[in-house]
Amino acid sequence: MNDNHFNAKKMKWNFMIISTVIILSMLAFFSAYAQNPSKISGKVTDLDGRPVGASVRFKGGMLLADGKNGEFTIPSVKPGDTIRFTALGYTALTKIYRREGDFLAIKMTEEIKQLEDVVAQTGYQTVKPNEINGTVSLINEQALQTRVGTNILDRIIGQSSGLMLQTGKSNGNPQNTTNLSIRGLGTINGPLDPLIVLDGFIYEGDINNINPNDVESVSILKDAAAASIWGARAGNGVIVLTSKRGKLNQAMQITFGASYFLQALPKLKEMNQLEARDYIMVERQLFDAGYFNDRITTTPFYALTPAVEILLAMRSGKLSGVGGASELEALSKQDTRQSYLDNFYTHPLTQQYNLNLKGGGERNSYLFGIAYDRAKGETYTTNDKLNLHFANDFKIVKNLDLSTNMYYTNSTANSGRPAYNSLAVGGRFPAYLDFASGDKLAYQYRSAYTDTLARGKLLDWAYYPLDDYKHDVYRRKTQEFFANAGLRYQIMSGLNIQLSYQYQKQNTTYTQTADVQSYAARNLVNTFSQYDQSTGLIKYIVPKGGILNMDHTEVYSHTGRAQLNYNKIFGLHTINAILGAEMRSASTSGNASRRLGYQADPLYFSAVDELTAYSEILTGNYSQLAGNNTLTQTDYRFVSLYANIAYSYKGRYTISSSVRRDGSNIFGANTNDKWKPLWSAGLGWKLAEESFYNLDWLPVFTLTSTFGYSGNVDLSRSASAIAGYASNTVTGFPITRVNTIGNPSLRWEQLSQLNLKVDFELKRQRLTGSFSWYLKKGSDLYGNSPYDYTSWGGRDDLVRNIANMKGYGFDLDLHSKNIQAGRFNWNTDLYLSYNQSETTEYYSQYGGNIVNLLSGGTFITPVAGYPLYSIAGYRWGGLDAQGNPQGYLKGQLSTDYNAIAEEAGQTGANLEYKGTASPTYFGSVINTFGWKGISLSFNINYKLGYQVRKPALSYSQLISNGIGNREFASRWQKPGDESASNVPAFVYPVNGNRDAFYAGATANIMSGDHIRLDYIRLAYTFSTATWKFPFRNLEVYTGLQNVGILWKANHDDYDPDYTNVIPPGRQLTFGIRGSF
Amino acid sequence: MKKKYTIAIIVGLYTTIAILGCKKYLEMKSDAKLVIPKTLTDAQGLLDDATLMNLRTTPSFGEASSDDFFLPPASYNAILSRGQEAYTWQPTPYRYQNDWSMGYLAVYNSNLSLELLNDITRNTANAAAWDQVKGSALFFRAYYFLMLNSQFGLAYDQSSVSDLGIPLRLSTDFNSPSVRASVLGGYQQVIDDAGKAIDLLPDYPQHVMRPSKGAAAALLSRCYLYMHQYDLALKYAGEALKFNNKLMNFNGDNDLLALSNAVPVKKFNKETIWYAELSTSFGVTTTARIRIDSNLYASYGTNDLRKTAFFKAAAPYQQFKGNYTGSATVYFSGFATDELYLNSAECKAYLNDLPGAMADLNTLLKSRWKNSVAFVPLTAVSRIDALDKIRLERRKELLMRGLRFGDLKRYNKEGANIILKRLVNGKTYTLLPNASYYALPIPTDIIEASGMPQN
Repeated sequence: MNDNHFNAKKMKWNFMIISTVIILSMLAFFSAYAQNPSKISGKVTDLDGRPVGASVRFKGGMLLADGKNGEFTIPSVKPGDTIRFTALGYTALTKIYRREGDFLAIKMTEEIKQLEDVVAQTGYQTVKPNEINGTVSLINEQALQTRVGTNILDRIIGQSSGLMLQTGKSNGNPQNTTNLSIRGLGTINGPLDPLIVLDGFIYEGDINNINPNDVESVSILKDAAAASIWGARAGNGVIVLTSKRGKLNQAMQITFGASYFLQALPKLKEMNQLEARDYIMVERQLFDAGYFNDRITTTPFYALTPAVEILLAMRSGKLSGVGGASELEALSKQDTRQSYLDNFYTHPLTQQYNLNLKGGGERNSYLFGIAYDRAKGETYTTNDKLNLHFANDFKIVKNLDLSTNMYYTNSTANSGRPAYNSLAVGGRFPAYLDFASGDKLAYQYRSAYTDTLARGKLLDWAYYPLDDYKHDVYRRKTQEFFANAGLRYQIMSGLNIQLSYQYQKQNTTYTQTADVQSYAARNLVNTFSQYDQSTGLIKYIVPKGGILNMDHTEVYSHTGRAQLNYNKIFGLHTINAILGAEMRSASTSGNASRRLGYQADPLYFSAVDELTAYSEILTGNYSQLAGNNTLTQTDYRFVSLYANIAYSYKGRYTISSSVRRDGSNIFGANTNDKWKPLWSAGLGWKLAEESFYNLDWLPVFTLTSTFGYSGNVDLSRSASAIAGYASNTVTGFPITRVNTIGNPSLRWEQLSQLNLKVDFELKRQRLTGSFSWYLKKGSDLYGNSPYDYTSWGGRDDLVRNIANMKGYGFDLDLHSKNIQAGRFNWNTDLYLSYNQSETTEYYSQYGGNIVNLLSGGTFITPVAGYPLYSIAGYRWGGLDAQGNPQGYLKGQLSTDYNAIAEEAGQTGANLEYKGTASPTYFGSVINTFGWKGISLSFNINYKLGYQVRKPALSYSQLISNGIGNREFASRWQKPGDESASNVPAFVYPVNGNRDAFYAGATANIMSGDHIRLDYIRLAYTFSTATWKFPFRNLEVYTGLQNVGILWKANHDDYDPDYTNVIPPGRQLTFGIRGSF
Repeated sequence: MKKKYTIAIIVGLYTTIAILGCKKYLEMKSDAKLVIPKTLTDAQGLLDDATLMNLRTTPSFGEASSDDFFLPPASYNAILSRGQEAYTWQPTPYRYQNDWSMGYLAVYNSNLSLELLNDITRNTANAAAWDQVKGSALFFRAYYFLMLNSQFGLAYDQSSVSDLGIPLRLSTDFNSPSVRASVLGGYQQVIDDAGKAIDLLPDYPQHVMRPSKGAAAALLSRCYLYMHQYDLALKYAGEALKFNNKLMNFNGDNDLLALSNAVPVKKFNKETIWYAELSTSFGVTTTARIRIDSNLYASYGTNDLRKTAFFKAAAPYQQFKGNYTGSATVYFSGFATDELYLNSAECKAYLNDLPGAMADLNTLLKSRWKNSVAFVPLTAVSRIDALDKIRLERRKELLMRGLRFGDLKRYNKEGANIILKRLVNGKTYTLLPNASYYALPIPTDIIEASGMPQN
């Protein structure tokens, strides 16, 4: 990036290529300056009477006056002439001159899409993106409104480069909750979630509790220089949320909004299932082969599927051959998926309402926000959420400011009806279930057995699928409160000290209430009923009544921070520095309990004996009533010292640096290991401000380069053998169980990132954008390394610092104003990211072979030289003449699956590497068209250059729990089929190794590349001046989300993002928002 | 000037506070339930973790390879390939989690407890607790070494000095490599550990999942029996019976329910000296799948109450109802008085004390016999006759308790020439006496990770 090599022509050519993709045509503004003597004058103000600097145009774009302080003068105007007023941030206004006099008072309405000062937040500082060297993507309020959703993270998808929602990918780290990744991976086994910061403080609550309409902007800190200020936990990038606040000297403004999202029924029919007829055929074959005999003879009480019951009745002569056949025929016409849809599924509907009041006087400003969401899920689950937000800023005395913030969230979620395949029949999932009113489902036990047990004196043991969910309800209640206050004292010019404190508290209570009529309660009572054969009496160990399970968790955190800010300009020198210290503690305490014999009214429960083992009535096995009482208490503490300094000369050259030292009370670590110093440095050069720079068409051209370290600390890792305490339920003795064995050599993970960035802007901001390239290197990464577990049998692998990785890629953001012709405009935002990751070293004796990549590609698997998410498969040799899948053994076709697996493990010669399982190219293109008040936008996103494994038919699964795959229909059935099908023949007994081979074969790997239309949004903004509304502004909008796949590379009917689950249905949105 | 001082003071003050304050601040424990094991209570807690030390952790690969049961074709076809291979004595590659990992996890807990004791001084106040921890740790280590050694090593004989047994891990250091000791070395370690444990353990345990003097003696009796050292096996059977010689009377006992019940024998009954359960290797021995060998079932007399107590019909065969675990699906593997009577009888017979041998045997059998019919004591005409009868009764009493495989190895070493056969889908598999497969395959991942030789 040297200006000597800067080649304007080449740049222009590159630009042309890019622009042809997105821009069909570009029109320029034609503007002319004219200064003529005045005929009329006027003043443009906003609705509060404050002056607005508007442009006044006349007849086809000729600029008549460029009003400063809102005042304008216009030369000769005839009645009937059209005058057009435009101003940034205000709705354009067209006025037909009707000889109203020689003074026009024009009131302009603020646009909802406010374009305020573009500032990014790092959480510690407010900066203009062009003033820092770090790479920060800013998503403004307007962009946050285009994609709907009740969760703020839903709304940022597709609105920034480098940001990807990784559906269904994981590394098994329990701390992951968001599935979001920024610039790919920086760790192998550590946490993958970006750090989330709200109003300057780390947010550890439930992200769903944040009201998205309260968020003014989202800053995404991508590179080390931007993120390193957040220290050891910023390795995965930082998402900084900034909430709205009132402003000084602003009249009260009330904004409101209401929206509805209506979603299509899930496409259950697309679920991978056998057709009913095939399912019955399989069951019949298993039955004839005696598969169910053990179950029928040795555990006659366990439920059998309806088809097996019929077959059994036929075998024992209780049902004639003809009768049985017709019953089976009737079953084969039923469809479990349809039964679920008919009885348990509905169109999800979400309603969202919000109201904001804000304003401010001379010395204080305020904001009060209230939002209410109500969502009904696809299985009738409900979720209600209330958000309150108070924000106040005070100027207490000269030099002393106080700002406060308070949030309160209350949400309640209730379970609905059974989700697809949550109801099993004796542990199997038949494809032909029908849930009719009053019907019993053979859920766990056979009614033929339970009805006569203990002379029928037990409680009804049947499961009623259409009723049970009414009696067995899960509820989650969450209350979250947090408040922060910050004091800022101006010590002297350029120097201020800021003291801030935040308190956060979140209570979550889960309750499961299974009342006396619920299956769960009846089942428990019956299981432990002690029947005395001689007296015919029943002794109840579990009292008749319901079950109440409660689980209460309380999270509270305190953060305190002291920070010195120094901003000073000495002539050509600008210094911008902060120095701070922060202490944080986050505690969680929880308790769970179970009450039996529970009834709600009058409130009552019984004491039970949890220590004695009782004989279970069906099996005779002795067991204890499992208690469910737990207590938890965790307390994590962090201390940080940090400093950040940026010096710039002439505002043209900037050097910046940050250092940060973090400490925490990681258990088992000695103090030295608890501290981790991190630093970063950056250089920036505004090339366009140099005197030799003469590219008029490119007024902004800035180069920056940063390098820095961020870390990753996983609080569950430890350096000493750590044990947990518990109590043995049988003996009552306290027990100590080692969870992690001593591993004193464990160090922190370290991640370095080099970032090079170009920011550019064409004249009049017709095209703005940035291109950044980065290289990440992770070292000392945690990895599970297989070890000789003779030394400790608790796990078969140990966490060690065994891996190094690198990740590299680029992010391109382009914002183009394609057409701005009068009332028509067309803007395009394009985000393109490229990301590759690779394990560079993996110190493991056995991790080197790509045999480890045979799994689904949904799990990070480090193999040196390969991407972190990658897929390999057995070389596929097609089916043989008996319908058996063939692989390769010593280069020859083979069906010796044990030997094939062995060769794969030893040499890997019969394996084929297929590629990364994580998209290498991804991003989105958002086009927005505006005409008068109408705006239409749509977002097309794409993921390219990756592989996914499609779910393969496993006969082992099919026979052992009856889970099928639609591939079954196209399986090999007769000689000759091998030329058309890749699906192995059904043979019984099944061969697990054959299934494993087939699942791992390349035949089941497909390209995941696809382009998706994410949403379409249509909005109309009323011109309040024309409509004479009492509103400052008013907008109605409608949209369609999850529209569908436009193109995909695979022809297998699979949505690559959702190969194993039901893809979300289309969502129709409509809403209104405005202010007055 | 004044302002500059103010700045200096503020900066100075707050950095000092920050740095000094955080040391204490960071000493807070991050999870209240966690502990770095240090104390005697922690050590006892490691050994009281029955889930890891007693329950479904005893090696059972051997049981899956023995002949008290068989799998009918439908059951065989229904189990996974690994289980099918184990059942037919085909060397099967298998990985974590398995008998090896479970056994050595218990060994780790024992070793960790012993290491903790190194830093805890034994004094008059803690002597009983200290001894209890040490004795228990040695007992558990000895138990798992014995069961692993008899499963993964060949049967004991004169070549045991060089036959490969199991690695004898005596510390928790995971960096020290695993090396297979000799079979003899394994037995010596067991004798050493259990011998020390006897002196340290209490006469009676607070709960039968804790070891006691009787349990350690029973362990030594089993160990010496495997080593064909009948005098010592007899001595320790007697030692153990001194603490508990009770037998349940199958005609009526408060530890029994109606014998026809699905599970008639209660858990933690009076015969149990130390309680442990077999693991569930490869899913072969699942109660619902297996059927009892028809000849074995036929050998129970009509008036033998065990015929009702232990079995139920699953036409045309018999299904096992389990015995001392209070569950039909979990198998007992600990020490109980019935085993000791049988050990004692067998040793006496071996040592030519035929009346003593038959007396021990009859004491046991009488308690299993229907009291409405006169019990005719068994007699023996010769040492061989006595041994045959005792060994048959041993099999009938101790079936599905993880002992048969060790007994088969032992008998075959003495020339019993028992050939095991499995008939599966028209194919017959055979396990010949003293075959090298009697030292069962070690987990594949252990061989890969440690470089130890496979069996």
